Amino acid sequence: MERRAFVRLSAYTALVLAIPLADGCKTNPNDPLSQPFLFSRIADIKTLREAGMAYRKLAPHENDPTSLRQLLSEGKPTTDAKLLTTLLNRQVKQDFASAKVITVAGWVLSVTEARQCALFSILNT
Amino acid sequence: MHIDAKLIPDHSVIEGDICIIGAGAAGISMALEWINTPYNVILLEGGGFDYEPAMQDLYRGKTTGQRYYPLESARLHYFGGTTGHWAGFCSVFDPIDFEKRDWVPYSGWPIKRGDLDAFYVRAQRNLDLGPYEYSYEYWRENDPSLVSLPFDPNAVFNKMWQFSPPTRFGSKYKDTIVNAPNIYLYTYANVTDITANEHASAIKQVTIKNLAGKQHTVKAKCFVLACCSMQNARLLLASNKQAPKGLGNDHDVVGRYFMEHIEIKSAEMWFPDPEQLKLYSIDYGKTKVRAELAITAEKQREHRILNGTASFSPLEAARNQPAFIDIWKSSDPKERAKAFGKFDETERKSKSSNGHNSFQLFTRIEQAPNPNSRISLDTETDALGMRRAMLHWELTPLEKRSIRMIYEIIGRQIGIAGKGRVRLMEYLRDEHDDSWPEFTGGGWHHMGTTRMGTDPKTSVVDANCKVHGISNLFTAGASNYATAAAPNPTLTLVALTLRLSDHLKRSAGIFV
Ligand SMILES: Cc1cc2nc3c(=O)[nH]c(=O)nc-3n(C[C@H](O)[C@H](O)[C@H](O)COP(=O)(O)OP(=O)(O)OC[C@H]3O[C@@H](n4cnc5c(N)ncnc54)[C@H](O)[C@@H]3O)c2cc1C
Repeated sequence: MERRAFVRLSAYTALVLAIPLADGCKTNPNDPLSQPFLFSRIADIKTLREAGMAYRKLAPHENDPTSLRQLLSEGKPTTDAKLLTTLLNRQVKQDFASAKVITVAGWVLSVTEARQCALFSILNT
Repeated sequence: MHIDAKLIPDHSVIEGDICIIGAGAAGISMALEWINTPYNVILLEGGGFDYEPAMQDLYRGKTTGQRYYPLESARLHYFGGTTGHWAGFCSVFDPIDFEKRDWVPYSGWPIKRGDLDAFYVRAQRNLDLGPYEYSYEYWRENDPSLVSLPFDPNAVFNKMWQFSPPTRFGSKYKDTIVNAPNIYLYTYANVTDITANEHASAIKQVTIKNLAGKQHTVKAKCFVLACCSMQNARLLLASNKQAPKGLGNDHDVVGRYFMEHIEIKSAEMWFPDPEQLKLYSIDYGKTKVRAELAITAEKQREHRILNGTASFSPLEAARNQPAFIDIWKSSDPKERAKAFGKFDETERKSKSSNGHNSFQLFTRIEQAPNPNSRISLDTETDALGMRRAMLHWELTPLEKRSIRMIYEIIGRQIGIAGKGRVRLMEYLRDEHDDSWPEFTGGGWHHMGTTRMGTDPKTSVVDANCKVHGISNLFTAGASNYATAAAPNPTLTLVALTLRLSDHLKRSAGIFV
């Protein structure tokens, strides 16, 4: 994984300021549902896609954007990107704490962020 | 006093009170304890004071099963033993390592960790280590820059390591041993046979041979086998005149349960921002302490896994480093040193004061005791006419499952902390795959071939390291280990040897 190819916009400021996306990434940066906050600061686009595709294989019943969006926004009645990011981050930590963890493409991820990767991979095929 | 067994008349008979066979970490530690006592101590060393290829060749032997280092390269056969090679990494066993764990077959020692504490204190001195302090809090107080990763201490803790210079027993203790009035060090004194009485209930004498063609007899009241796990087993198995299956081997246990530490790259840890991880890094030869990530006893119990630790190396360099098993191949120590030199240089260069975003996680884990993993005798003999040792190294699925689980636990913890993410290496991803990758290696830690226990059907020595059923034969070293724990073995084997030494001093009856 090359550092220079990282999706660097997932830091909160990057998200709200909507800095242009790295090449090859079609996700709307204001869409936290498809941007795992911490993981996308570590992983490049290819890795995010790989993780997302691996998750979709493991959870075929979730393999469509509508289901994934629904699952990710459950209990988060907001469209505000900032608030949504905060709520998703909280959920990611909760996932880890309650063992809602999944290994995809070798990454030990929270189920929430694996779903975010899955959505990312669908939107960025 | 030093005597070269090549230079004394053939068929000499040497007599003393206690005979220690092998002058490595264990044998020398034992001998040091007896200086200026009223006892005559005979210390028999197979080699001389320096490395000699012909001596080393006596260690040659076949290996089968899990790929292993050439046997003659994994131990040193001269005064000081394998401390001529060791790297000096030391840590203490955890209390759980001594317990019977129902998910680890054949686990459980007849002693507890607490039984070793006083001896660990003394062993620290033999190995030139610092204070007997292995808690993270102690070292953090001394150096506030040793910052821990924010893990839940109930799940993952900082297992502290100390680093010996490393002490080379051969050079450090030679003068002390040679000048001791009651220690009789014989070099070129390879024990090739142990002779018991008719019922094999006591040892009468041992036979020593050397490449000069001389043979001598050594008689003593008590014998301590301290010639490393491979040789301790080999000698017992080869000594089969009074006991056809070998001494102490009525139940076919000698040589079995051979254990190594599996040392293998396993995962990566990624951070969004560069991290120094000073607490977890090592500058070889300079660092006094560092931590490895370890899994608490509670979590080991919960997940029914073995005890293992994870260490960090900057990923950039580590991912291109060859595995030890691929560079420690030559029988020639100079060749091996060259290969290792390159390895160390890459490690050094990889250190950056700006920190790193990614690290390789390297596992060091105990192997579950396994009767099929064993030292036995080959039909081929060495230059002294002794049957060569053969190693069959065999791992079980528990080891691999445990490694995977360790990184899942660490991965969860770093996730809870919101600090980074862990990625398992390819070979760990399929939980149904029990195979091991080519680069799987050991730490050159041989353990368990004369394991300690109360039942002679599953052990060779008792809690005092006495061979079951033989009144005056003891073993010293890591061959006594019932389980291997995660840390490298030398500190614990020296502690166990000092315990044995105290026991022998108290057992005056033996010397009557
Ligand atoms: C490359 C390498 C790195 C290591 N790094 C570490 C480390 O960082 N930390 C750690 O804890 N451990 C380490 N070890 C392991 C460590 O060296 C051993 O645990 C330790 O030396 C074992 O001590 P011992 O006395 O049981 O055996 P040895 O040190 O091997 O001594 C056995 C002695 O017995 C003699 N002998 C053998 N057979 C006979 C015979 N038949 N008659 C008479 N004498 C005989 C030998 O010549 C030798 O002197 C390392 C080993 C290697 C090879």
